[in-house]
Amino acid sequence: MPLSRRQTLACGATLGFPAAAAPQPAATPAPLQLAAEVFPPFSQWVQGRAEGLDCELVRAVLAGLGRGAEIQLLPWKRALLELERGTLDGVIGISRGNLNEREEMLAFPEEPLAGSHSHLYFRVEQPFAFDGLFTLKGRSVAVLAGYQYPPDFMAAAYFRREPSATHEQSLRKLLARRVDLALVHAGVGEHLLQREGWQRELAADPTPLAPGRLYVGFARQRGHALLAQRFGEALRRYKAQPAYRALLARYGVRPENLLAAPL
Amino acid sequence: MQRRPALAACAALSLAPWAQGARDPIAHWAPQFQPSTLSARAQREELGWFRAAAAPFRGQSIRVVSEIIDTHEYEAKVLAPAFSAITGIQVQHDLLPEGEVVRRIREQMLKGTPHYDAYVNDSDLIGTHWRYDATLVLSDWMRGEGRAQTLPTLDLKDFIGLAFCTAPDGDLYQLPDQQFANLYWFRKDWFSRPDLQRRFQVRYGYRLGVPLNWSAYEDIAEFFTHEVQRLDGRRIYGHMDYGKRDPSLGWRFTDAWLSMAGQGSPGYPNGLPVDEWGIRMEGCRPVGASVARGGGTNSPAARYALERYLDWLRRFAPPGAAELDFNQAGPVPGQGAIAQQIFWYSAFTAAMSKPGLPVNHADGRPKWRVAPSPHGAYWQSGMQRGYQDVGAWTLLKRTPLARRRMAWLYAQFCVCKAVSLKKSLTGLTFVRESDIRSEAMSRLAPRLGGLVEFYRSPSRVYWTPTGPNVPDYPELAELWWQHIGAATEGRQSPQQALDALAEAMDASLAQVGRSQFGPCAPQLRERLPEAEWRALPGAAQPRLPNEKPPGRTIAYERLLRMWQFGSDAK
Repeated sequence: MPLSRRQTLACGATLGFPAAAAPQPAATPAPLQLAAEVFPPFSQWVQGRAEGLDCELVRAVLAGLGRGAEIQLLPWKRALLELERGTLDGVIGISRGNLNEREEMLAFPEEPLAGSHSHLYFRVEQPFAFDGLFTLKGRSVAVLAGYQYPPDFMAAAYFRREPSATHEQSLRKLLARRVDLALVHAGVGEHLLQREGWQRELAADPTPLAPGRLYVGFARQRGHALLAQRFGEALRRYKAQPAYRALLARYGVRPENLLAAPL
Repeated sequence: MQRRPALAACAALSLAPWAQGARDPIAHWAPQFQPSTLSARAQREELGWFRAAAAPFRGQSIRVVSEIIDTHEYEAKVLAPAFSAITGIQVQHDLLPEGEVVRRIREQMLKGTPHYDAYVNDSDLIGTHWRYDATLVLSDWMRGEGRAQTLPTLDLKDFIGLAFCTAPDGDLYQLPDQQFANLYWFRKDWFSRPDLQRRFQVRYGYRLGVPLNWSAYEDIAEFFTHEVQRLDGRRIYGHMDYGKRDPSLGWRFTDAWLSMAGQGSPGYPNGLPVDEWGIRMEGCRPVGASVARGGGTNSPAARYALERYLDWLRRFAPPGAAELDFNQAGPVPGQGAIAQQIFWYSAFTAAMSKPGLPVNHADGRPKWRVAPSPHGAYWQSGMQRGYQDVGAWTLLKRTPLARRRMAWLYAQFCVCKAVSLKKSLTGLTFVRESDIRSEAMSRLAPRLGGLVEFYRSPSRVYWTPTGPNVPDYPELAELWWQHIGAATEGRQSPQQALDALAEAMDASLAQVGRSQFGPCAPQLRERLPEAEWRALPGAAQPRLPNEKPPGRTIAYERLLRMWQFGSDAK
């Protein structure tokens, strides 16, 4: 569901005011200003507050490092824009980019939040089997605005890409027959089909597409390189604990949806 | 295009090595295709499918052809006999020099001369196949006349180069068989020596590392050739290339050299509206190559590309390099006297990894690495980064149906999962994601100098072949070596040679336009006065006042992260 203006204002109250600008006692560093997109069950609105598996995970790991976090949920394109403007300390659930180009701007922890991949969703009444890009010939595919899909996917002239603000919007377009397919993150798609009861109407082609890793990227211009390193170490420790497995279970996320391909 | 050290052209007529009444050929051959990404049972089942699908053709024979590389030698010597033993279809798998393969397929396409039943033809020709209507559209074939002969476990989406074989209209024309990239090659052991690092830093004012631009490449070339000169008692050189006026000189330029310099427009895969050959496109229609028609073949960036090539060849390469052709020059870096090579084909990896070479440690680990090639002064973000191509099975429409079906069976056999990993480990020209991600490949990776990391990276798709813009690859490619050769032989200046090439390209495009039909056939636009062509979108960049900006290098380890950590779309 697209972020409403009210939600933006409520959750983005500190947007535009860098944490470093506000005077803070040295012993209690200001909470980090982080952004994520609506990416259920990893990040989503719950009673006006950004919640979800990733939000909980990030808050817990940062708390162990003595840091708090204020998390805003923004459309992905806007989150990246705010990052470039320097109004954020970091972004949750971001990749390093196809050419690892974001490493210039963001300090990445060694440990990712999770591996990721996407699936092509289709209407059950119109079955689809992906067997290479050419099988998309003549179709329209809902994609996420602001995502950096591989260039061969983006440049192919024989199918149409229809940008959406969220994965949920992509699936709603698919249901409404406005597109033939929707490219949706595996964990998000599975969650949305369950939550909305769309399992009889929509299904996913099993081919994992666009595999990668999603991180918390910390803004280098705010001097967070060391924090990124410490966050990665703490995250690795946390993921080895039973609390992490309980977190996955609580959100109904299957670990196989979070596996990362070997480097 | 891919070229490898020339061997005598050979033909391997496969003969079943098992006698009548001997053990089941599948039981005989399956263990020889280990390791495999399939279980032993699945592997036998896949081989069994070929036997069943080929039953109507038992006792017949086909002829196929490919260029001369390790991968195809393996196919001719091992896979063809195995296929014959399992299916009863005799295969004559000829290996010919690449130029000859291209000449024959064009002749068969345009004149109908029945040379072969199938070709392994580079996807550089996709624009040719798409426009001449002589090549079988595999995506239609697999649903139609070839359906019964299409392997259910072919798993097309597993092929990493499938997009290169797909025309702009979404039709699949070719089935990938072997793939390779053009990368930067360097001696990491030399680059890592503290004494050489200190000397380079003092002389050039920045760190010795992988060059990010041509200025740094040039400095490093000069450093090793003229400053260091000798290492471990032998004369060494900071650059290797070749310059003999023969067809392989053309590939040296059409394989993205001009776009690596910065000729052409940003845009995937080849630059739009002007591509790496300098051809201007209007939609899918080529309209000219000369700058006066809005192209870039004789642009300042193209002249810079040719001048740098000539300058480095003369000043920094070993004596005699200018008289070598591609085949003769290819093995030279492996002999241990070359510090770096800006234009290196990964198809040489198998030869470069052989034990006993001075570029490898005694335990087989390489002293060399591969990295992305640096870019020239005109290059901008979004332009083609480098070259990669896939040799792919190609069938022609006029081949009799039964022969097409048999050839299609053999083509699939050469790339099926039952044999693919074993073939990949032999020829190191990977085509399947499943092979690249296999444990066997992980074990091999430390011996391949970064090649596996490249192929596992999502960034690999930024290296692209000659795209669909080139309407008749054999015809147009022929022009390049002849005109570039005039510059290498010193008969013309670089600008004169490129002006003549651009004229010839325009004339050839016009001629090809008369033999092709439809909205994507070439049609020359008028020559324009300078003020007008300069106003065209994507017009040739003006000459830079400084074509040697400060050199920039990067630590190899950091660069490797680009390949290792390149990630998903989010």
